[in-house]
Amino acid sequence: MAGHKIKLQSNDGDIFDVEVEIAKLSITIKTMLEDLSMNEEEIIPLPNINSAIFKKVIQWTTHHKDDPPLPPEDDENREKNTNDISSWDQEFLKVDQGTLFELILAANYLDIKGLLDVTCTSVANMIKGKTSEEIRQTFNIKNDFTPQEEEQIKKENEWCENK
Amino acid sequence: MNTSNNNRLTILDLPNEILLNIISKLSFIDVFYSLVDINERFDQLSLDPLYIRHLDMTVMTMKSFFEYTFSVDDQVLSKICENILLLIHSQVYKLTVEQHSTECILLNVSYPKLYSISFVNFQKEKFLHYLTGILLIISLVRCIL
Repeated sequence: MAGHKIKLQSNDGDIFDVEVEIAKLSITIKTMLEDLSMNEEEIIPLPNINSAIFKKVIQWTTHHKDDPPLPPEDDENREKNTNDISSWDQEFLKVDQGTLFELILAANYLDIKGLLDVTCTSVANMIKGKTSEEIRQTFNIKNDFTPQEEEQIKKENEWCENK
Repeated sequence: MNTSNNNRLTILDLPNEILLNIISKLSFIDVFYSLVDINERFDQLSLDPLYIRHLDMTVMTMKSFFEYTFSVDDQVLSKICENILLLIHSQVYKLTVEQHSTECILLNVSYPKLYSISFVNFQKEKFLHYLTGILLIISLVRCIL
């Protein structure tokens, strides 16, 4: 089966020839092929993913196709060390925020755990060590607290603003 | 590479399920320091009772290979003790404390659902001191019940 390819179509109409083994890193696509026994000649549409993001996804899965499967996550020994992004992935994730979030949604939709993990870790690293005000600036988040609530928060946070 | 359409996604476009995934990659300390007080949605997610069940007050900060600490920064600790404990204490099932944070965490509020407590990185004398205190409280409670 090595080298055998299937056709996947992004939501802007481009058709990609992808090796089955690589495409199957997406549990969503794997399920379509195996459980729904879709014909491998058929073009599989991916309505939630545009070409640019899909190219990134293929780039990532191609690089990681031989990775050992991730160990199942359980609460007791959940890794809290979020600095462990490989240098290849760090380079891969040097993209603007919009692209990063699109990648997260694509990884989630396609069910590619490794990609979802590393993109979420990347966002977690952006959050680490920032105050809530810095987070609002970094991610361009509007403050939806009422002025009264805001006053209360300011009071509570005096300790960190007088640094 | 022009990957985004005109309407660029922001972090708020991500569903809660994914935001919780991101939050789960941060320590409690990071979450309480950075994500509480941003907006209502982040408040709800970071103070999610399901997520809070195990309150782990240890953070390992490596200063160098030989020098590291498990203690929380003082300012973060006081924010947690003054504001956040009151919001979450009744949800905590499991506590992990280290010497520096013990008094603030144990003395400020009660934990009605607590069934497990772990002590990390204590000096022997201090630990015995706290342990005696806790045993005293437990035996008092037993007497009353």
